Amino acid sequence: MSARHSERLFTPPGMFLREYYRNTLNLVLLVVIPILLIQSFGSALSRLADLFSGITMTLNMGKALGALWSAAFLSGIMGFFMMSGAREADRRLVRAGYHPVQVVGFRLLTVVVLGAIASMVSYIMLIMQFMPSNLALTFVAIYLAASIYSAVGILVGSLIPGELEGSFAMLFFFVMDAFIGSPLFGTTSEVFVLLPTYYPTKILTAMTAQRAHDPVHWLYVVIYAAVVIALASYAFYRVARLR
Amino acid sequence: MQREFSLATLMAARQYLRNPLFIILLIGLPPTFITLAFISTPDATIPLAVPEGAGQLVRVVSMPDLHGAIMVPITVSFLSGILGMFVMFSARQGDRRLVIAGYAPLLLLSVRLVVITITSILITSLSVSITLLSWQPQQLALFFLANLLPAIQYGFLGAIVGTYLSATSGTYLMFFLSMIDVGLVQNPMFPREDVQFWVKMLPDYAPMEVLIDTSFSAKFNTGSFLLGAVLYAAILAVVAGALFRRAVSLHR
Repeated sequence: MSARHSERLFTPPGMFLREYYRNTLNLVLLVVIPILLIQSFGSALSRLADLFSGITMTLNMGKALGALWSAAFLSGIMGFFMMSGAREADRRLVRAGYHPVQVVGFRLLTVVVLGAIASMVSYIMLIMQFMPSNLALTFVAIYLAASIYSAVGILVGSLIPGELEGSFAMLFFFVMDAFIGSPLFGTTSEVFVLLPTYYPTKILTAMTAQRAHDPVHWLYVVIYAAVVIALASYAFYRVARLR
Repeated sequence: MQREFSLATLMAARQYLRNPLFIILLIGLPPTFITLAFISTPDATIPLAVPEGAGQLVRVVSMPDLHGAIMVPITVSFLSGILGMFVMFSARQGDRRLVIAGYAPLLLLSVRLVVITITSILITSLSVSITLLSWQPQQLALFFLANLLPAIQYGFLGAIVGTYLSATSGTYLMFFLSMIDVGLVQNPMFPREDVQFWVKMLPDYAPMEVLIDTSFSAKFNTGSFLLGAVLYAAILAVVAGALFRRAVSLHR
């Protein structure tokens, strides 16, 4: 691979990453938010679970959910703003000779990396507080939830150009996941299986409590992630092609 | 001056009203969240410390009622906070030009705060109306006020954030601050024994005390908290004003 060719391949993803990380506050929040959420969810949810018979929610399970949601929500917002702020830059890349498929690939790669960083930060904050029984699978569950939300962010950012309306749309998923369809409030309705973190939270709480969980739940999570990523890629490709 | 104010307010309102998706989401999200909170919460009861005179009385309340009541401030603070942030964020560029064109920074600030306040009133009215379909608070008017205050507080906080931060950082802050403050730390579904000092400093501490009182007590006992919440909102408005004035003046 010639130096020029490799530069052509690596410049856009590097540029997209820099776009996010040159803002110091983004980095600060990436660390501070998981700490606050893990603490708040851990403390609050363990107290709430005492009130419901049939729900066992320990402090550690609350903290694990805090880590999962912080990684997921941070990645979702990152994915959304990357898309909504990308229009002008991507238009220039397509004009400069990049194929829309390449641009979509670069964006996906960037979101994958950012999602991994957000997951890693949340995961490190979590294991600083307690040691999950299965370290690798705990990270995988958090990362899958983050990937799903990244894709949701891309999808929303591709379909809704306005930042205000897009933020409201992202809010829909956050509130539904964390406050309405979550296991925390004793919700048992099957309607909520379609929420992005329904199965990841089920798997993570079971693993944290060292309880058995149905392995098919992993399959559901992977299928969900694949479908949302495919939809997000297609939506973004259509937008990029139209440019 | 009054004509300029009316014109600027009308233009600012029109900017949002001509966006149908914004209207749909603004009107659609509160009923969705609040109704689903009532429907999805298991039919259990919870002991809740309700203000009574100078002390507190533990009452047993329905879990769906409490979750439904709490979803109102959660919904309004999220929506108003994000809206307040974007009102100021999108105004940053345009308002600089308006200042150069002769508009006073104070007038422009008033317009932004009025837009945030009016929207907060609309969101709160809608949210409280939806709540009434499933449950009746004990003191309706004060319950409305207990929900309007966090809406305005978070709207003004959003304005402060939107004056200086980027859209991404600002959205992070507004999402997670509302989530931690209104959704978790102040949430009476998670009983608290000792309220720590930093919890009392958060925006929704005083409004939540008023909300619990007006939801489940027939007599109003939390006047000092109501006053505290109003003062908190006034301080946020002053801070938002000072920062906005500085931001606009710096770029004249």
